[in-house]
Amino acid sequence: MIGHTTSGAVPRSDAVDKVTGAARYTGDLRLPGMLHAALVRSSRPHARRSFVESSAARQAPGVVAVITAEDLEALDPWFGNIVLDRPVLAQDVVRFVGEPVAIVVADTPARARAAAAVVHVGYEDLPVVDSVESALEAALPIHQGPYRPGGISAIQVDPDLGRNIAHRHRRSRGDVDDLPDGALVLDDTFRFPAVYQYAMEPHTALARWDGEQLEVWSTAQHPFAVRRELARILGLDLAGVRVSAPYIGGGFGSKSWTKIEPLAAVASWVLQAPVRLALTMQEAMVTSRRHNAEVEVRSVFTPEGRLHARRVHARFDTGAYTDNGPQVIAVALDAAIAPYDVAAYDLDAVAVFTNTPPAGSMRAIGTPQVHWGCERHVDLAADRLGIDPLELRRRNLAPRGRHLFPRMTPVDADLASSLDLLEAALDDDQEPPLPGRVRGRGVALAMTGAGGSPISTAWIRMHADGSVTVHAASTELGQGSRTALRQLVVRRLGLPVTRVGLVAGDTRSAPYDQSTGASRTTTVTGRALMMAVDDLLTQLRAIAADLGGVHEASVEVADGKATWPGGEADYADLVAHEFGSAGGELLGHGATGGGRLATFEPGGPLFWEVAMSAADVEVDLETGQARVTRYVAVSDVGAVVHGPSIRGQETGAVVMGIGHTLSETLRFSEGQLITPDLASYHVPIATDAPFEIVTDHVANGDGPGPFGSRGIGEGAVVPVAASITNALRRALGVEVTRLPVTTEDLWRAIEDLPTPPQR
Amino acid sequence: MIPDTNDQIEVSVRVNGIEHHLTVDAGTTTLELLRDELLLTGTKLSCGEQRCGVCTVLVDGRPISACTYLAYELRGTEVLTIEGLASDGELDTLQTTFVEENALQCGFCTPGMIMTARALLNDIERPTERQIRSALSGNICRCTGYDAIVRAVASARDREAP
Repeated sequence: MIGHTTSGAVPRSDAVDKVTGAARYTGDLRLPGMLHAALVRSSRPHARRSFVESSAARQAPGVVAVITAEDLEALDPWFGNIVLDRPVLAQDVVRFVGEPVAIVVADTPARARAAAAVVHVGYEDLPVVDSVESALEAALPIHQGPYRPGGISAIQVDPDLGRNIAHRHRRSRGDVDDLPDGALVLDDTFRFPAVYQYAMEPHTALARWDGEQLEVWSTAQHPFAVRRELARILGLDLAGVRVSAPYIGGGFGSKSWTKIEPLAAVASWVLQAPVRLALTMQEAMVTSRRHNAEVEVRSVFTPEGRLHARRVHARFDTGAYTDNGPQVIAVALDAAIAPYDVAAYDLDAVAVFTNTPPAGSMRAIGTPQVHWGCERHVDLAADRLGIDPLELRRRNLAPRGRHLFPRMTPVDADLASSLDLLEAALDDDQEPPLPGRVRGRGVALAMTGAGGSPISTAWIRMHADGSVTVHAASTELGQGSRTALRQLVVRRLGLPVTRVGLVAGDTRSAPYDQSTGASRTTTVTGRALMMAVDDLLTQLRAIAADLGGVHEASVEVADGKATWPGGEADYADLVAHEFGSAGGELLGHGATGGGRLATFEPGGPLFWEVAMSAADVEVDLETGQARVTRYVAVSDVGAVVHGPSIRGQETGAVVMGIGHTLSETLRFSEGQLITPDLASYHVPIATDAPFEIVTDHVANGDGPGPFGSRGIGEGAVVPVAASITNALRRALGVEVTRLPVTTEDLWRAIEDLPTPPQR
Repeated sequence: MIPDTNDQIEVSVRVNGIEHHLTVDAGTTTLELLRDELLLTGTKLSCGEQRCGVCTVLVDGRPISACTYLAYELRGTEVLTIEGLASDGELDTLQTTFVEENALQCGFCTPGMIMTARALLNDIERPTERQIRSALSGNICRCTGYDAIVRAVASARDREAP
């Protein structure tokens, strides 16, 4: 029996299942008569698809069907959360290497794969757009359009398809060219790589169409969004589609919105049999990614160190389809000034189509790309102006209540508290680095728009024995949503955690939740759940008042019971009093949203996520290898709901950030991914991670979530790149403007230094 | 002798203490045998090319990648998977410390991570932090940043070899 975690908190509610192998993921599910799908994928980055020759595949052992776009003409076989520009199977044109062209279904996965390899697709090649520069001047646009809106994400797109622009987003205030006296002006272009989310579980979906209803089990982060797309594709009511997400083996955005579910669904629809599609990791790596971006940054400082103006012009490579690109570039621009109060700004971002796999959401969408160059400038300014880097940042922090952007949520946290914690956690008494190494420290502050959609609903059922079951659809990706939601109920109802059950991640058995991402579950789903609990408490109070013959106002409900002057009853007694015998149950309901509900301020974000950090980085002067030896991550959580989960999110985000800073990059040649495995795409391993990660958090109780909490999970990935590259500059004097900065890059930079550092 | 991939091969193997007599295709992997034949789905498939460590199980006490280790090579061996680690309802020390240290999030790498750590602690009585990280360097975790995992292994070490 395990009592508590070492920090004294209760263990994650899924911990024992996950250490014993009992936890079920989509790939672990089996249905009677289940068939297996494999995909025929485009080998061309941009081409007309002329024919699909599949007679050999159809005759291969175990093969049941080969499905192409022509088989889907009775359906509406398009998807996309923002615009419906993505065909389920390529129709007349393929737009990236790896785009699904046909589905081969067989009795075993191996037979499906073997047959897929002998399907022959005819292509007539079209001009390839392999970079953002060539996209803007391409003779042949990748998309002709126009497309219908996807209708799931409420964002109006501003495309220019002739120039391969999927969306443009601009914000401005004041005159950035009106320079103050003695201004320090910094101009640089910063490049951020395309990276893969690399959740350890590749995308998997299992669909069963029975002629009336569609059931899908999937690795989907947002089952309700997938349900809506599947219903439209098959012409069904929402009530006719169930999407269920069991445990998900990591998401980080790669499994957001709709990804492979339509492929499994249409195969099941064609065959009237259950069909599973399980991607290989190589296939997963061409299913989603983070946008690579080129970001021009101008920063204008007064001689006193005030950040006076910022110009950011950013070009994001969104790949072959829109996916969540428009939302990504919009959120990205928050990071162009936040967390600083800047008088004038001119911000302009475009999402550009190229013939590469579609880029979509990844942890803190768009933000690391824009943030790191901006924070590099802040550090550079501190040096040029002779001001301590923390002090310069302190002078510029936006105060609570300040609107960084008109009509958007004002700063809702006390940023100075986080900076104080960061400063206190620095360690200036470390041993000097070993001979042949140099060490530097870099800091960076971030504040990102978080929360995503305001729409969540939740139920809580109180059973006849006083135990409860929570129904909340947030999916468990590893972030600990199931633990956090149960902890909220434990705290509010005074029940032990063993008496709080949870049903999650299933559109049939839990009520609507728009999405799981954007650090929103504790804050937004949690708030809907607290409203459900309040609804339940109101009912309990009324029942207790009736039982005790007192006014409701004199009833207290807490710690597992109701009390009133002269009497008390536990929850089971109250349910029994309501129903008259040992049966029945009470149901509480909660909902957050925009519209009439107006739970949060309009304009967004729902809250600001605060992340501040410092990296101590050592560089080996012989090899160029950089190692983060000590990292401090500070966040503002508002209130602690489950401490170990907070730390886990922070440490994970830090190491993920080390990946895009020092090693990870998806490389394409003529649209073909040439880094398709861990040998060529280096995800940080245990020896790459800092041996010492210090985490601390502000808990001022001022967040918009339950008990004053404020979501975290994404923010800590944002300041990593700037912290490390600022440290590299202080250690070596190298100015990094392109990520990742690899060991080889650093070795060359050291060789090129005008005065080589002392070895 | 290396069999032809179409050959059917008889395999007798003990898995988590239970003797199995199976007939497998020569190309069947250990992972397919475990997951599809024996329905032991605790061991997961991730990269499929022996690089990420997610599918690690112990064969005669040695960690192997089940995704590429052919099932016929298991003849006469003793296989231990995550399902067989707890005995008589008692969790293994590592399972306990992984829970206590919150050393898991999505859980997909967890079975392989624990099996690799089990092999380490069986081999070396008191590994240093550096040795622990080094032993785990073939097991990728994208969620935790490894921090809690290293603590959990160190904590199990201290409990087993104080």
